[in-house]
Amino acid sequence: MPGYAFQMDSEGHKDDTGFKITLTWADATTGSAVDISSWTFAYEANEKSGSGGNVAVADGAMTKSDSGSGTTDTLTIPISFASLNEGRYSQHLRVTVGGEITTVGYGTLEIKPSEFD
Amino acid sequence: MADREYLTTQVYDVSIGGTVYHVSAKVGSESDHSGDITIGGYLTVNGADLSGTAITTTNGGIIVNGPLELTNDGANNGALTVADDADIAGGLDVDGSITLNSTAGVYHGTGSPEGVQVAAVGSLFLRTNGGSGTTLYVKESGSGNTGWTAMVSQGFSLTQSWEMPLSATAATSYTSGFYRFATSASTLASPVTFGTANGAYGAHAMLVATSGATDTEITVSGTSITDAGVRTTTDTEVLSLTDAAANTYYETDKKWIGQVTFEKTAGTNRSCNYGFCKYWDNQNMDFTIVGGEALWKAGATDAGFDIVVYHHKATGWTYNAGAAPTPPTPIFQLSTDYVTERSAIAGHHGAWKRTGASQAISGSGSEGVIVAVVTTAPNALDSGTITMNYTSG
Repeated sequence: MPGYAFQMDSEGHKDDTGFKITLTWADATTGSAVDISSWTFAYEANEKSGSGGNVAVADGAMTKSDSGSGTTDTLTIPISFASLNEGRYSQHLRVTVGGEITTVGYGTLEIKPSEFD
Repeated sequence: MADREYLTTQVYDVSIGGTVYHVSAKVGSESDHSGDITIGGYLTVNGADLSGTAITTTNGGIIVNGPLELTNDGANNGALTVADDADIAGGLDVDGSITLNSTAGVYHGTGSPEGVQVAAVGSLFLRTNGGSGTTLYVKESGSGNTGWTAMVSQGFSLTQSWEMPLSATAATSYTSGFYRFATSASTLASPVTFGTANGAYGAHAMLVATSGATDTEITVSGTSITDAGVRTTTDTEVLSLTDAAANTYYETDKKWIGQVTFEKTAGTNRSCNYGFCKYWDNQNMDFTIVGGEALWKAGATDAGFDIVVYHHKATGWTYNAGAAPTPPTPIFQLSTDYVTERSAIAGHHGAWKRTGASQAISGSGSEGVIVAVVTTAPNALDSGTITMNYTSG
């Protein structure tokens, strides 16, 4: 349904060496790639227990690339679990285009114990 | 490295500023430890725990920026298998033993391995609480825990032989070197010549001083000769008598041929014995005398016959004002060992053997060996040989 942000539920493990969200953008009508190089994204996750575990990724730490259409249309957000506690986090992704801020994704991030203890 | 399969891959429609976009979202981990990891290039591990994971590289390598721990998994026991050469730039710390080609090994521990350490012939045992001669053991026989032999720290045994000097008159004759002293001491305040012109001495000039001032300088002048065969006429060398004690010994670094002159050229008068010395120094290399033998056939009966093996060195000398100086105490002396039964008997063979010595000689310094043969009867010796046993170093 247009106008809604997408559901961004995900999970990871403490010993994962990396975690990322990759978003590829296209015009819903034409299917053409959308140039996102001038868009400013911001990712944030906050621990639901209120223990203060937070992670934020600014636009500059993200990678914008070409998915193959010749247009910069893919956004990759690296997320580090190194300093986070195990538990549940609320996460959201916002984008600023032309001075307007829109939340494009939200959901729950769950960090589980190490798989290899 | 294969990524973990993404947990979600979905397409959403979102609206930004009135425009609707399709967003294809993939969310997930970047790592996957759940199975074997096959690497075509290098795997760089910066602290990640890879326990329980098999790592295979193809024409690549593994760089570990931290300790590499191979824990006991109950099956392979933490073994590290290296199919090719192992290049270790740093140290190799082995808590267990080292086995070579599945046979001989290198072991270590406290106490003797005899009766304790099972090993194959050819194995080595490094004893960490041993001493001289009880630190390195070699397994020389058997397949059990016996057959270990301690290796004594000793160089290779070498020999050096000299013909015994023959004399038609009663004399002290030398081999392997010689001493030739002035018959009495002098202050050398006036020039004193020593040796005979054109004599092929090839010897160091030496002094043995009485006690006195420390400012005395004695200049030796004459023709010098080097071990490289370089002859220098009108050469000089100054001996500085800097030790005030009696019986101090000095010798020139240079060797001299022909007649030399001793003269005090500075400082206080100080009486000295003086002369020449030449000694066998094993080509200027350090060595240790461990024994020796002498065998001779007497040409005449001589009750005063003697053989003296000197350790020529800078200590142990005795200054004598009215006679030649007394050299250091000999390493061996026939008359000391044989006492009364020391005579050379006309027409008879005689022999003398010593073992068990350990006299270090600094051949690289100014030390060496001089053997003197003393006869008190004309033609006391018909023939004879002296052999020294020594180890290098």
